[in-house]
Formats: sequence, C-alpha cells, structure tokens
Amino acid sequence: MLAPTVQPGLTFPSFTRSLMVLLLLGGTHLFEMVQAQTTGNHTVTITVATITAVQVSSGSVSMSITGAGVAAGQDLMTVSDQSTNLLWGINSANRKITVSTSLGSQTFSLRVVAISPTQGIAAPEVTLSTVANDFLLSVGRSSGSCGIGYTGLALASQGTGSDSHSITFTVQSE
Amino acid sequence: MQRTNILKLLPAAVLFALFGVMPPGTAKAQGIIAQQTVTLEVLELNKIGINRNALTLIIQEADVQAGVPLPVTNSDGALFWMTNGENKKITVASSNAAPRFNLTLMAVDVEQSAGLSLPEIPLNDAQTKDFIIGVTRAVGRCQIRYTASTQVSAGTGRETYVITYTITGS
Repeated sequence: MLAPTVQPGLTFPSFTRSLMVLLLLGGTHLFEMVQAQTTGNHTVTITVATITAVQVSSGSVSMSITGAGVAAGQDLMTVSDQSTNLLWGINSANRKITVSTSLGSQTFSLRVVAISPTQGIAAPEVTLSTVANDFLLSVGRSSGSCGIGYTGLALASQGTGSDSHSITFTVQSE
Repeated sequence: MQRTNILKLLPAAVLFALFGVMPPGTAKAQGIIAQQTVTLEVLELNKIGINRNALTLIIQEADVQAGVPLPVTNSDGALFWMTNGENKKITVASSNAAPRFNLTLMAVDVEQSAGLSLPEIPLNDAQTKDFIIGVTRAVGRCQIRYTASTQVSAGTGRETYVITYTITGS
C-alpha cells in the first residue's frame, strides 16, 4: 500500500521521515494483530447438583438375647449392638435423617439411636416402627458419620423367637 | 474425618448420579435412603436365684404337756425366677439323704400367674421334688417357708442341708 519510492519533489530527509512514520504506524498495527491472536476468553459455568448420599457400613446386624446379664426375677432382657455406622454426604440445607422398619408386627422391641455423630444432632432414642422417626437432625450441607446403636428388648412373657427388620434410613427435609 | 467420609461416599454418589445404581457390596445404599437388615433373636432363658445363702432354724422350746419340742419356722428366704419358655417347674432337693430332724418347706406368696405352689414338702431324703409348677413365660417371686421339727428321741445336735432349687421343664 505504501511503496517506499522516492517521489519527485521530495527531498531525501523528508522521504526518510515519511518512511519512519509509515514503519511506526505499520509496526503498531502489526503488534495489535499479534496481540489479538494470543488472548481469548470463554465462559465456564460450574453447576453443583443436589447430592444426597447415605450409606450403612454393613448391610446386616444380628443380635441375640442369650441370657448374659439376665437376672432371676427381672422381666426385661436387653441386648445392644453398636457395630455399624451410618455415613452421609448432603449438600442441601435443612436436612434430617429418619429411620423406620419394615416389620409391622414385632414380637420384641427394637430401639435405635445415633451414637456420637460427627455432624448434626442425635435425636432421642426411638422404638422402631413402620412410621419414620427422627434419627439425626440438622445434617444439611455436611458429610459425616455416626454409630448406629440398636437395643433389643424382650420380656419373659413374650417368649422366644426372632424378629427380622429391614431398617431404612432416609434423608428428608427438616 | 469428614474428608475421609466424603471420599468414601464419593464413588457411590457418582455412580448413583450417572447410572442410578449403587456399587455392589455388603452395604445397601441408595441416593437418599440406606437399608440394613437387623435380626433380633431371643433364645429360651431360665433363671433362678435366692436372696439368702444361709438360714438357721433353732428349736429351743417345747410343749411340756404334749411332750414334744415346738416346731420353728423361717420365711426369710425368697426365691426369684424368670423364664420365657413354656411348661416349666421349679424343683427342690436336699443334700441330706437321711436327716435326723424334720425339715419341710413350702412356697408362700407366689406372685399371681407366676406359678402354682404345692403343699408342704418334706425334705426327708435327697430326692428331687416339685416345689412350684405351671411356670410359663413368667417372672416370679415367693417366700420360702421352712419348718423344722423334731422328736424328743432325736436328741440334740446340728444338721446342715444344702437346698438346691432348679427351674426345669415339666
């Protein structure tokens, strides 16, 4: 576009000045072009979905009242188990964990309580029924664990036998 | 602790989010519920106990007109039992196979529906004898009334009995 030719009527110094101006303008434009090729931007969006995970450390627990600690003349017999844990990861606020059993007609009583939760507040010990009862409160936006404390209770008048419970821990809104 | 826990849950959460399934393993778990099978078994239990390890009866008076020493009784001992089985009874046996004096016993104040007391039982040999019958899924208590008597001809002296109570099947 700008040929470096000497035009008639122009003295050499003025030609040189014109050339320098041209080079300066051209160099600036070139620098802008190079600069445009080495930068860029895009939009990054992170979406965190609702995550609610709850898990037991073991799928089964067996408890047996065999006579240890049973006294003559005393009606109530008990057995306890704290061998399993409940673990959870919840990124929603205002959540609690409830517990229920599938066994509607029980010969004996089974109680459960959360032991030493790392997050949240353990609800008072409850006797399990098919109706969901509070197990752990205020566990929103947390991950943690607690022991699951079961206590089986039997009376002499209830005789012998076996109850098989399917226990369900459920994360719910508080 | 929290970090460890969330790391444990992370694979399960990712699998659940992607495929709607949980990894196989001993622990059952789903997105918002976890399930666990709890089995509570109650075996047959029979327990019996007594509140006094030693009792003493002293015959020291006599009916002069009848010419016999007066019997003495002691009801300080109490028996306790518990069974969640059915058709049980409580038996009693003495270690003294040939006693010189007379010792009898009877259960008194048996709690209702805890069993049926039998009439006065002589401990005149070492045979096992029924003491309380009809014990089924019950918790009970009674007083043990011992009665000691003797004849003039038996003279004086001291006898020791080891009395054993047993809860057993009928």
